[in-house]
Order: sequence, then structure tokens, then C-alpha cells
Amino acid sequence: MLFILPAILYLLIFLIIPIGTAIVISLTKYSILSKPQFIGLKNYIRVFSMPTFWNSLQVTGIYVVSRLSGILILSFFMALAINQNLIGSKFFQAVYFMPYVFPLAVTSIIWKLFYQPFGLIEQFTNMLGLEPIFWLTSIDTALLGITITTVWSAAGYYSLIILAGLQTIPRDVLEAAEIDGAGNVRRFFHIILPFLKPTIFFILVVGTINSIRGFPPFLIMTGGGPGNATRVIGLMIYEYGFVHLKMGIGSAMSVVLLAIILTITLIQKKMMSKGGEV
Amino acid sequence: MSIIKNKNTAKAIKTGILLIIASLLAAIFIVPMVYILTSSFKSVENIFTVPIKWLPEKLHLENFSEPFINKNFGRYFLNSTFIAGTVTGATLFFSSLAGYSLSKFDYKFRDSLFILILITMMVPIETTIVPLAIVIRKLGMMNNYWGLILPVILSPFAIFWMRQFMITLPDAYSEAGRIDGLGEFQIFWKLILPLCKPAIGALAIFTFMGNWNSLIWPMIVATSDSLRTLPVGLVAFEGEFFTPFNQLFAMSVLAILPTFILFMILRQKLITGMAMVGIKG
Repeated sequence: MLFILPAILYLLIFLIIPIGTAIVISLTKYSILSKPQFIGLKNYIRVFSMPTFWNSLQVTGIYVVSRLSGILILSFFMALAINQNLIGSKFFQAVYFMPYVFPLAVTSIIWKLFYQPFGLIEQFTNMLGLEPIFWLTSIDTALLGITITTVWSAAGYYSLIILAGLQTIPRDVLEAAEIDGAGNVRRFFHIILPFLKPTIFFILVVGTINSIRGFPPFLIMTGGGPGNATRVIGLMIYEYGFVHLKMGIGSAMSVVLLAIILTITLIQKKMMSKGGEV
Repeated sequence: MSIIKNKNTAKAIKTGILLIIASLLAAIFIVPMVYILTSSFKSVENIFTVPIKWLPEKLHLENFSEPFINKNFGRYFLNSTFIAGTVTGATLFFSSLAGYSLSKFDYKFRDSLFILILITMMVPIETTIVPLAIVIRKLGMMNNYWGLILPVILSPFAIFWMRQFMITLPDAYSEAGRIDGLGEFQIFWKLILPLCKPAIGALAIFTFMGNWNSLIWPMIVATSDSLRTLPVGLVAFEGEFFTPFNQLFAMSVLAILPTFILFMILRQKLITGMAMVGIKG
């Protein structure tokens, strides 16, 4: 019993109390300078009537969808290639995975430099004969620029999960399909994909949550700009809490985000257990 | 015969194409890393040139020393090492204790406690930073090491991880210890912990990496320069008006180095462990 005590204290002080505090503070007007003042649901009404809040949800949504599509396509290919046991597949696996161990702050700083005029990216687009693109300073490409960075940083990691899934497909099933004359495309869609359903599902859920959580690239590379083009929800909460010092509104947004994340997780649980029955 | 032969050639072509695409993809990952490394040895003028200069004309080793002299990077390194090290040690100890308790003892609220841990595992720190900062300020831990360490000294995930491993251990070990007259803590320390080496090893890597790489929480707590960790120091360095980019690259290389070395040594362990974990700390 005594052994669990530190854990209980930790959970209480650093998780349960903050979550409770978030809910309480979200019902007050509070900046560090003044005492909290109870104002009921006003913060929530404010938050939901803010165009910037809806914009941030929209930006977050676009980011999550495009990042996950990029990751799925790339990591699927990586996993299939590694699974073929090509020459040097161990080497490929290590190379693809490597950026994942870099601090995300460092990856973001470095890619910001890559996107600079005359930086690494422009050197390559020049070679392809393209006009210079103002990646992070243009409304049209800033989100794409960050997405490319975070796909680069995580695709290798997700390919491991897919690889683990691929290796659960029984060899004889694939061989039987080959003998029956099923082509590559048909094998992919009719055997590999159905077998990987749980894996893909897991990636979608974990990837969604991780993408919503990971706002350091936005903070470092664009600071939410240009305009509000890359102001994702995590960054908004951070700004309200620690830049504008409006703890009440920041907490209300945190509670909304928490609700969104828990809903996603619950839907996952439901669908996972359903998938288990089939 | 010819069908088999055709099939083999077709297979060889397929493998060839796959190999080429895999290599091209690998280039997308390797080229930036090489660029980072070579840029860290360049002079400022040589970083953004057209066409690109892949190799520095002269090795500017002072890129690596000047930030230590003109800036506080020595301190940042010490802070990062101290915090990541302490947190890792504490996490391993407390999560093993909790895992042992949850898996091998029976008491009233044990199962509800475990469910609570499962739920809190889903709560990302990003949604609690605002209230957490308020709690930490109330406790007087803003802008000191306690505030940097205590809120991350354990994690629901670490407890879950150790519990899941320990529940697979047979009860016979603890019982043998009790017959030999060992105290409960001695049983845990001398009999159980040595059996948990694989789980502890993997957890140690994740925890160290997660904390070495962590940015947001240290940035909120460390308002004075002397408390900054490496990622926080780097972000501040990048945000200055006239950042010498060659030095920024050099410091980035140093920040990557520890996790990179860890990765090279423990690659296989890390890869299998990460696949099991699913969520990055």
C-alpha cells in the first residue's frame, strides 16, 4: 500500500487538481495579476463566438488530415519496402526512423532555416526549375511547409507500427493469393489492407492526438502566422494562458480541447472493441 | 520454364524499382542531416550561398565553442542533463514501486486506481499547462528546478508500463522472499526489480528522450536564463535579431547528439520498444 503512495500523490497534485482547476478557472475571469472572479459560462460563450477559435479548429483539422495522409502514404511505402527484405533494409529502417529521435524544437528550428530564401529547399526547387516559394511567409504554403516538416519527423516511426502489422499477416495467405494469380494491386487492397485495419485505425487515433498535441513547430516556425493561417488550437491555448495572460479563456479552451480528445479516444475504444468481435 | 524465367525477371525488375524508390526516400532523410552537419562547420557567409556549398571551405570549429562563451549554452546543457537524468531516475523508481503495488497486492481501491491511471494517460499535458502553471505558481515552484522536475517526475504511462510487465511475473518470487524473512521493500528491491530489466531499460530510454526533447513545460517554468534547458535556449537563440546561423546549426547538432548516440547504440531495442509503446512520451 505504501508503495503506491508517491504515485497517488503525483496523480493528485499534477493531474487531478490541474484538471479540476481548469474547469473551475474556466468559469472565472482570471489573469495572474487579479483575483479570479466567477462569471459562469461567459468564457465558453466568448470562446465559441470567437472567429479565431473556429479558425484554429479548422486549421487544426486541415493539419491533422493532411499530416496523417502524408504519414500514411509514406510510412506504408517504407514498411512495404523494409518488409521485402531488400538489400540494406535494416539501413533504410534506421535512416527513416532517425529524425524521430531529434528534439522537435531542433527539427523545427532547422527546417525553418531550410525554408529560408537561399536555404536548402530553395536550392532543390531551383534545380527543378521552380520559382522560389516563400514557404513559411505565404498564407498558401505556411501550413503545408510545417506539415512537410512534421511528416518528415514522424513517418519513420509510424512505418514501424505498420511493419509490425504487416508481419502479422500469415505468409501462406499471401502465397495462396499469388498462386491464385492475384496481382500486386489486388493483393494490397484485398489482403494487406483488411489485415491492417486495426493497425491503421490505431495510427489514425494516435496520430490525431499527437498531431493536436504537437504545437512546438507552429510556435517556432511561424508563430501562428501569416495572419492566422497556422494558428492551431494548442498554440491558441498557449497564447491565451501565457502571452495574453487570460487564464480563464485559456482554461475554457483547454476544457474544450480535452473534451475533443476524450471523444476521439472513446470513439476509438468503441470501434476497436467492435473490430475485435468481427 | 520460360514462364518461371519471366517471373524471375519481373521480380528482379520489381525489386530494382522498389530499391530505387527506397533509396530516393532515404536521400530525403539523409541529405538534410548531412546539410545540418556540414553547415555547423561553415562560416556565416557560406551558409546561404547559390549554388549550395556542400562542404565548408574551412572548418570553423569555433562555432561549437563561441555559444559556450558568449551565451549560456554550457548551463543549458547541464540543466538538460540534470533534469532529464533526475526525472528518468525518479520515474523508474516510483513507477516500479507503483507497478509492483498494482500488480502484486490486493487492496480496496486498487482497480479503481488503475482505471484512473488509464484515464489520465489520455490527458495530454498540453491541455493542462494553463492550470498546471497556476498550481505550480501557488506551490511557489515557478522559475526553479522543483517546478521543472516535479510535474514530470512520474507519468501515468510509466506506471501502466511497469504494471503490465510485473503482472506477468509469477507470485512465487515474492513468496519465496517472504519465507526467507525478507522485508517487503527488500523483496521488491532484490528479487523483483532485477527481473524487470527489459521493461526498465525501455522505459529509461523513452523517459530520458522525452525529457531531453521537451520544450513547452520548461519554457513556461524557466523564466530566468540560468534555468533554461537546451531546447528552450535554442529557441531563444533562434529568436534573436542577429542569430549567427552557423552557431545555431552547431548547437542543434550538439542537442541532437545524445539522443542520436542513444539511438545508434540501442537501435533495435528502441525500435521494438517504440512499436509497443504507440504514444511518444
